Amino acid sequence: MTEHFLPPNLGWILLTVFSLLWVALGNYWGKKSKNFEGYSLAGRRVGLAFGTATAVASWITSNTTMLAPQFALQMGVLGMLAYSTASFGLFLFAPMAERIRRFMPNGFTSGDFIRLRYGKTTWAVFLTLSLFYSLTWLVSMSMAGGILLNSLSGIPYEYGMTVILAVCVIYTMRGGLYAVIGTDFIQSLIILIGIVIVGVAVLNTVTVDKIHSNLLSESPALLDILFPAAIMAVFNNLLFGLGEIFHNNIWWSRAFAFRKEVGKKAFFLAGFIWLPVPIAAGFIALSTGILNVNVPSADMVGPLVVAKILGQGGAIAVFIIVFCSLASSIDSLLAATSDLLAEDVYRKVFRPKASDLDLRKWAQRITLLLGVLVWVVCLPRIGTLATVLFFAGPMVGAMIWPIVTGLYWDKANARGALSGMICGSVIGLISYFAIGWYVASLTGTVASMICVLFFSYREKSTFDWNILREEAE
Amino acid sequence: MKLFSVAIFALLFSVPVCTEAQALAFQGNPLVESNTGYTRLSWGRLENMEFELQQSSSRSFNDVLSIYKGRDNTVFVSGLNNGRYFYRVRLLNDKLSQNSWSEIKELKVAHHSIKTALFLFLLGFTAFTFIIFVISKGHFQGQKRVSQS
Repeated sequence: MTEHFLPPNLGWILLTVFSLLWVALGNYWGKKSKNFEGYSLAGRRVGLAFGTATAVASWITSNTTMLAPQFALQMGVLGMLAYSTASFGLFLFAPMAERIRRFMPNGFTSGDFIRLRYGKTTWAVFLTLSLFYSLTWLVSMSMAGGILLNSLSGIPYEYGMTVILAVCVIYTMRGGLYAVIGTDFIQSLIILIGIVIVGVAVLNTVTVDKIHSNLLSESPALLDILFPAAIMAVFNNLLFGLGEIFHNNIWWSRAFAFRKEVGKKAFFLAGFIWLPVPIAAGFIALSTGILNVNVPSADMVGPLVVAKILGQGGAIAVFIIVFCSLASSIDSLLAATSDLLAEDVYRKVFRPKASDLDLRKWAQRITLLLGVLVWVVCLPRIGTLATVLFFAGPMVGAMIWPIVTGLYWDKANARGALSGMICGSVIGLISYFAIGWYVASLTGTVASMICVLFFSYREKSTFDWNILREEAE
Repeated sequence: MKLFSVAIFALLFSVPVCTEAQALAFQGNPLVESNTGYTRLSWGRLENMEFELQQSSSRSFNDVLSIYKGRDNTVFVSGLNNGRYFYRVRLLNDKLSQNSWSEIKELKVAHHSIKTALFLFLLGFTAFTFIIFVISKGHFQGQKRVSQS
């Protein structure tokens, strides 16, 4: 029997208060969107403060606050540091965002870029892989919501997961990217302040010396800098982060939505703000032994430790932090994925002459459908957060080279991109089952790199960059 | 009639012990292997009962580490070095079965080889270095062109 740190009634009250707050704020900000461009890209006028906040909040997912402690518990200090390498995705996307904005001043989605750069076949494969990834990410976050509410307050997993998902669907449908970015701003502030408070409180309860001596006697491998699985996980996680940010429409839609001079600075700043978050969140997991906190499931370690140390106040803090981190990522992913489907599938495939109003309606319908689909997949709790998320790792890793070379090399071509995406995904999946989830993105990236380099140097093609602009005009 | 009463009495008092003894068995195979040094141990759920879980490096439990005392029926263990680990669990707040330990569960930890790990690390490092190179070179060339134009 797992001990709960909040009475279910208090859990329900917190859930209701924050649900109403997000829906109300989403509704308020959503009034600004007058057309599809406003709805999907917030009018392309997002400034530095909101831009940085939305990048930080979208990247501080439930996985940061719940998976980083899981990494620390499973793979120790090196695992914790491995998780923080995901910030490199934000750093490296900063210059890319500037280039994307310059080459595609009126672009809408990452799919637009792939279609114009590599043609329709590569675009179809890209869309399939990207949508699959987005679904697994949505599933892993919605699962995290259910797990969190259940472990903290005893609210049944199914109910907690349903409420969090429903709230995000409602305010994303209502306000589009305006609502997402506005709520992200508030959510990122709450998350960062909360993590600082929790971190200071934990350090006041246990000293680093005590944690170290406990680990040395009970879990020595967690301090081992040559922990094999953790060594493998370092670049796997880094490349997973790169692949996710480089390909996913969450980040591309922000690159299009930020003001021209803002994108580079915002992503760079966001990387610096994000970097210490998984270290702070992961560190507390190393204190389970000394604090005598039992961890029935590795993905519950963070909330359990904080709630144990800080009692009901800590449990409330964790509840709010993780609810904010969940909402800030689920809303971004819902908005970005529905835009991708509305723009790339509905408009490009079925209705090229669709009106703004029509596109907006379809984006809202798709958001609702995505919510229902994710809810159905989440109902049976299928695995730990890491196994669910990293199953998509090979696809994500396989995207890095086609995107990077597509943006910077005129000799990059469709054959390289297509073979890179397919071979990378297949080889990554093989290593996922043969070795483990902690190598799948890495092997996928390397296989994809080899394909892209081979075809880029073998075929002497030259891309006309004006094609990217022509479409927009 | 007397025999029947004795039988009922014996049945009433023996049922909980039997149930607990049967419930106190680890779930899954008695031998598990791990190449990451972590695993999850679960045993039968019994409401309002306290358990003690012990770990040892020998099957005869000569050196014992009590790793959990409490009401949960699942424990996540991690950070184990290469080797064989043995686990047993018992009820704590039940006088009748206090000394009876469950069947032993064995965990064999054999981490991935360090050579494989370092090879994959280098592979990742190489891919990452190339990515940084492509982005930096492209970025600075692009800036140059913009300033020239």
